[in-house]
Amino acid sequence: MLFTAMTLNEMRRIWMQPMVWIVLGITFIILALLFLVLLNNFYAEIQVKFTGVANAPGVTDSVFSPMFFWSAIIGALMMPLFTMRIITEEKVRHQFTLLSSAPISCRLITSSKMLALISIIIVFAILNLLFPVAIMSFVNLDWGKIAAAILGVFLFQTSFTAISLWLAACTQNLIFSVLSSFTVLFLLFVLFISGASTEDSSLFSYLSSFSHLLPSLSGLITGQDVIYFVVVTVLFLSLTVIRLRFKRE
Amino acid sequence: MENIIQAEQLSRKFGRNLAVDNITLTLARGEVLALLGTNGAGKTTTLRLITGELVPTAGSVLINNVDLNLQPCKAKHYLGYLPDTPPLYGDFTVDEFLRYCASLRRIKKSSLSSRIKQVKDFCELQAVSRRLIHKLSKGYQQRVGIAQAILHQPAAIILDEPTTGLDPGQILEMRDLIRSLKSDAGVLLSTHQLNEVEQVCDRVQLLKEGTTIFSKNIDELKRSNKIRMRFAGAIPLNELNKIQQIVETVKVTENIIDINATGDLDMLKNKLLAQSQSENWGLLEIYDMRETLEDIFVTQILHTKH
Repeated sequence: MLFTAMTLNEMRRIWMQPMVWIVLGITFIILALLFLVLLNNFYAEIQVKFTGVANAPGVTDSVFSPMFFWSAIIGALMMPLFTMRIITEEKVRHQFTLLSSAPISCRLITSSKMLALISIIIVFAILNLLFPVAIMSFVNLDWGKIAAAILGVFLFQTSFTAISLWLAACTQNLIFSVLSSFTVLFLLFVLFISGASTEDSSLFSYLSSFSHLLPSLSGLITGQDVIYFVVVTVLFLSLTVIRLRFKRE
Repeated sequence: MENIIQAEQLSRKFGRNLAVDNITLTLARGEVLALLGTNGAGKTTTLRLITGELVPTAGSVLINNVDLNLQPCKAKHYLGYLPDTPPLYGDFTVDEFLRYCASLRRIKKSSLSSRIKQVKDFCELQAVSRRLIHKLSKGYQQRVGIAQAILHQPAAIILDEPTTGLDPGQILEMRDLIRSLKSDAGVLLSTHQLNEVEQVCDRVQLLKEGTTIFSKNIDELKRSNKIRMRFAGAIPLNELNKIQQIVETVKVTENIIDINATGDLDMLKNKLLAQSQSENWGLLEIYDMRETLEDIFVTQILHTKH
């Protein structure tokens, strides 16, 4: 009951603010523009190029796979704004004392905040789903691939949110809270690029979340990728709990 | 009286800086204890150590005989805390906020509404219960802060500079509120307002650079034990020393003397006046030399150099 009340309170604090609606609105517009560009590209170039070719890439591969890749990045870029608000700003405004002086464990505080943040990721996933649903009457879609991609984006964003939550718990500076998360996202992307460019860098590639996102975009969800995302999420949530405890030391 | 808070030899370091150094304090039910000191004296840090917001570098805190460090959740059940900045969610109404605080404090659903009503009545928040907290005045926000601190009927209420930033009317109301809190709990507050301590508190502990330099009951402080007498001529020292109630005489000048005495000083003054008339001592003045908190503060804090 306490956990539910805390999670609902965190969700309320997120969803009652105009910021979440503005950010989601902007990301939706960006995704819509991206979708239109990719769809236009498909009909103008790809479909023409592959006419008559067996197993040619369809709308799912040509439009939704790249779109969901960008959607994962856009979604990851918006999450630090909310982790900053839910934890750093709470500390800056001295509201965190309400939780830290109450008989509640840091684990409960972290879990309720994370669950509230996941509600944004779920809404974001639903927004992503609107695009295939909008054209499902006109084209044949591979719903298995789309489901895998949305699950992949969800896991990617959840793990990155856990990292961002930890970074937000580490600082009392709002700008640093957001910038440090952006830096980590950039670092993960650089690791992915460097891993993809040379064969020797497979460890770098493995460490990057992007490498574990890509298979899902082509419809492949592997146990290895799921475990990677779960481990990263649990690891950084645990670090957040430790950080909140350490705040007292 | 039963001790609710028992803090023993608390110390806290921030890097190399020793913010709190070996502070011991106790708080009993029905008592208001003030931590008094200048800015940076260690008042807030001491309160944060007692509420479990910070872990002491050395020492221990028992809240209702529960060790705060070993069983923080259990110990925090007995505490209500209002920090110097009230921990409020501005975009909540007073009712919504108190309901949330009640759930954090695990107040049973069956008694939730009645308890919130009681607290709102007590803190006079009924009129603003549906207003957003950020739209309330500083005084009302402070009241909401106190309401969240007493909602779960804690045995000890800790208030960090509760009257800072309030206007004179709000300060008086807040003092009344603090006085009424001690009927059910012990109240520990920090302040640098000397008159506040004299009006509201039962006991004062003076802090300087993280250490206790003075601790006394306010009643004891208010009770004068010193009389000053001024004579036209010589001081009748022999006669004064014969009076049993007089413990010590200190000659200030050739015709001024300070007397330390025990028992009822009004009776002693009457006796001295009568004797002066009958024996023609040439007494010009006789008055109490009460040491005020301000005197103590000035001598102990401002004039003491380390």
